[in-house]
Amino acid sequence: MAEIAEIEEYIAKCALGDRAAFGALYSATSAKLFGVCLRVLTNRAEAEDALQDVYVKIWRNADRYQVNGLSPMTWLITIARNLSIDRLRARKTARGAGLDEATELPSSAPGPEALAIASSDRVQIVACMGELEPDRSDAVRRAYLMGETYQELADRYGVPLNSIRTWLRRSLIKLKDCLSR
Amino acid sequence: MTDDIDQNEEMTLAAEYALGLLSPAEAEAFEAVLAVDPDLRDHYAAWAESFVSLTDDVAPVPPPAALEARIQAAIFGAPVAKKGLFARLGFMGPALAGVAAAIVVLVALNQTGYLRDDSPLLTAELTAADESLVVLASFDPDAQTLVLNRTVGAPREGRALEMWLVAGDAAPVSLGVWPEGQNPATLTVPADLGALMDGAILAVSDEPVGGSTTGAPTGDVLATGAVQISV
Repeated sequence: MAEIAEIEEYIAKCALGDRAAFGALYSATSAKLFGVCLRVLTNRAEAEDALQDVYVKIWRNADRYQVNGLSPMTWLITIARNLSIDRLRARKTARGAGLDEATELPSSAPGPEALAIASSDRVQIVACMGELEPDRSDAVRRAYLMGETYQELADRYGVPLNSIRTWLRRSLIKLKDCLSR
Repeated sequence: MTDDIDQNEEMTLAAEYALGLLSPAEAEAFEAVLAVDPDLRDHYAAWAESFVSLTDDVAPVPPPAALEARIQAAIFGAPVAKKGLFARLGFMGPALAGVAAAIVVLVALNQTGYLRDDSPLLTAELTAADESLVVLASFDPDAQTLVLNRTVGAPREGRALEMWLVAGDAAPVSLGVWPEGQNPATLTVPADLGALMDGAILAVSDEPVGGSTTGAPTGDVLATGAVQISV
C-alpha cells in the first residue's frame, strides 16, 4: 500500500486531469476498494461493476477531495462503500422487500491476521463497539457494511419502527463518548 | 444545555448520515447543511473516519486485470489508438465534458468593441479543475484576434502560459505564449487557425518562459474550454 502522502498526491493530480496519476492511484488502491465492494455485495460480477462506478466517481470528484476533510483512504473507501450499498439496496428492491439475508451474512469477526495489522483507530472503534449492547453494535455494523435501513433493523430486532431511531441513537451517543475519550 | 442538545443532534445526525440511515429527503437536507456548516462537516468527518475502520479487516482482493482497461475506457472514452489529442494533452474526456457543461457565455469582456455585423464573436471559458485558473477567451473572426482575460490565477513563478488550439482529432497547435505581464492580452491568430476556431477546444499550459520548444505542450495542461458562438 502506498503512503498516505502519495495517495493524496495522486488524487490531487487526478483533479488536474493527470491520467498517469489515475493509473497509479488505481494500482495502489484498487485491491482494497475491490475487497470492500466484494464484502458489501458478496457477488463478484456486481463488485466489478461497482468498482467501475467507484473509480469513475473518484476521477470526477477528485477536485472536491481537499474540502471534505477526510483522510485519503477514508474518502476512497467511503465512496466504495456507499456505491456498493446503493447497488445492494437496488438489488434488494428488485427482489422485493423482506428478504432474509441472514444466511449470507459474512462473519464480522476479523481473523487473527487482520487483528495483527489493526490500526489504532480500529482498536478504538472495536473497543468502543464492544462497550455497546451486542445488538446495538451489530446494528451499526449491519447499517454500515450491509446497508440495512431503520425498517430492516426494526424488523430484525423486534423493535417498533417508531422507536428504532431512539433505540440506536442512544448507542451512537454512547459510542461517540467512548471514541472521544 | 440547549447547545449540548444541538451538538448531540448534529452529532447523531452525522452518524446516521454516515451509516446511510437517513431517508433520501433527510440525507438531502443534511447535505445542504453540510455544505455550509463546518461543525457538521467535522462531525461527519469524525464518524466517517471511525466507521471506515470497520473495513480494516476487509482483505484486499486484486480485481481482474481486464477491469482496469474497462474502467479506463469508461472514464477516458474508447482507447485512443490514433493520435489521441486528449492523451497528448494529458487531459481527459469526462473532465472536459464537465468543463464544457460549466461553460458560461462570456460577459466579462467588453464585447461591443469587437462586434461586427457578420461574424459572431467566438468565446470560451477555460477553467482549471480546481478553479485555480480561469481564462475568458474571445476570438474575433474579422480582426483575427484572440483576447484573453485571466480572471483567476497567474503563471507559476518563473514560468509562462501558452495557449493551444485543439481542433477535432488534430494535435494541439500553439496560438502563442501569453505576453508576460499583460492581462487582458491579445494574440493575433493566423487565418488558417482562425478558421478552425468554431467548435474547437482551447487549452492553456504551463511552459518555460518563451513557450514550448517542441511544438506540443510540455508542461501541465492547466485549463481547457470549448469555443462557442457568443450570443
